[in-house]
Amino acid sequence: MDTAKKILIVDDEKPLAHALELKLTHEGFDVVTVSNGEDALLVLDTTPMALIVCDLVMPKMDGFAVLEELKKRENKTPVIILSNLSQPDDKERSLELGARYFFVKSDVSIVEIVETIKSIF
Amino acid sequence: MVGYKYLKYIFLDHLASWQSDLITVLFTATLAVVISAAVMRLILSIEEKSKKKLAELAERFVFATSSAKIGVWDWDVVNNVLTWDDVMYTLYGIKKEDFNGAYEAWQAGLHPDDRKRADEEIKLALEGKKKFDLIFRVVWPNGEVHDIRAFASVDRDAKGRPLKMVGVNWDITKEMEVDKAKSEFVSLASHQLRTPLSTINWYAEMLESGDAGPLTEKQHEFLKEIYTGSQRMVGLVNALLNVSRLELGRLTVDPRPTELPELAKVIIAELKPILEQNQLTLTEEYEKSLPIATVDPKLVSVVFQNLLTNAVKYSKEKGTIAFSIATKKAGESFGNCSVETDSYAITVKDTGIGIPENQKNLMFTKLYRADNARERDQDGTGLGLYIVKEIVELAGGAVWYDSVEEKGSTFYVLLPFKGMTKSYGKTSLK
Repeated sequence: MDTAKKILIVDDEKPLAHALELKLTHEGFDVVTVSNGEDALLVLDTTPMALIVCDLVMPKMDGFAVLEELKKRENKTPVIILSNLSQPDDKERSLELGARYFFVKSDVSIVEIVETIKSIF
Repeated sequence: MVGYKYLKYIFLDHLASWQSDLITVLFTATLAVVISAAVMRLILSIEEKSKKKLAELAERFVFATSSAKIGVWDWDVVNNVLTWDDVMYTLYGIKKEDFNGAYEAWQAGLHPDDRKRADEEIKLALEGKKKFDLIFRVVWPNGEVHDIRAFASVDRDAKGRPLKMVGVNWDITKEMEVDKAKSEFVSLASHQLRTPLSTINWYAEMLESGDAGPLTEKQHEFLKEIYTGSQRMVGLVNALLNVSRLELGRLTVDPRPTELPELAKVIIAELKPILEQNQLTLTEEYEKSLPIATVDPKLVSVVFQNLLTNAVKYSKEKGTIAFSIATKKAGESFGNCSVETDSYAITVKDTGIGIPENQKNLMFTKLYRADNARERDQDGTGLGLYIVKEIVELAGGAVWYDSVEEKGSTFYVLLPFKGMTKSYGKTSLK
């Protein structure tokens, strides 16, 4: 499939990543899921993605570190942060590091996330 | 003076007048010298005692401050000379001999990121605009970073110009560490609590949408209960997080010029759907030309939101809610109380279920919900009013209410004009 519909999900919470993957695949997107920042960067090295959906709290390399690395690489792919960290500081920091959207998972419906993703394309 | 009369009798009455004058003068002079000497001795003895007392006090003071590891500093503003006691040098992890005076030591030790803020606070203190009360970091030569708490007072001349600033520093690194650990724990705990809740929410949502196949009516019903229960948990986790932020005093207060009616209107707009649904009428009344308030808009929004949501939640169908913002001067009356200082006066009046008399004292306590509220709506966290009270009191204001069960409640909030003061907490309310 062409890049136009490739989405990378970075989240160590398997049920949540799976739910999102199901929904997005249903909408016609091509989804790749990894469980930490390190693996995410490895994937990005070889496969260009159209969108990155990233968690913050993850083992090995967290979301903030990913954002920092992406910023260094002058990444142009839009990034959505999906986290259960809810402090305004977390949102601010994510947006400052280049994230386009920030959602608190427990406060947002999965449909809203999917609609937001669709609107980016 | 019998002696004098006696002497006078013995000597003077037999002397020529010039001789008796001379003796009188000599006698008076001697008396004067003796008395002066006695007075001098008295003054010297008092001085001695005072000096001794002062020396004692000074010794005790130094003992107290050095035992408690409180450093004392003295800044001669006029001549720009900074003097530190021995404790100050230990607080900065340095030896006196290593620096050319305290000022150099101060500049070398103060953390570069805190320099601007420290300078600002010193400026405000000298101008008399703010008491000097500051937390900043110092970097020791060995690389250690310590948190220091500082207080100071400003001595002024007759014209009110600053002459001297005298202050104390002490190390609060340990307290800050404990604080940080508590806060990180809360943050982590709420993150961990939220994760399984998100899972429940999303899968319930997907089931309800038919993503796993069509549902029977009963299945829909049961799912709804699961979803509602889960949402309640999320609400509770969020409210608990807010409460612990408030209690840990880590709240950032960021006051800025705010138009209170504008803030209120945003919240009221969000309530429109439920107002319509429950056929409630909400009236707004804003005093003409309300001055711009200096408050943290996020915090005041939370106050408005909590009070208005309560009014809506506990209203009876077709009820009315009256929301108003006015100003009151010190001495005026508001909600049966006397206003202490010029303030904004906010009223939220509903015609709802009211608050039972015997539960009135508990309304602002954590997690408390009155029995009739519980009956009405199971979803409340019992933290809304507690949060409102904490925020309002942060702003130097007050919140109270009148209520009659079954008739309705009126909540009164006073927010002083002088508003909230900026504070450097590490976090904000969600």
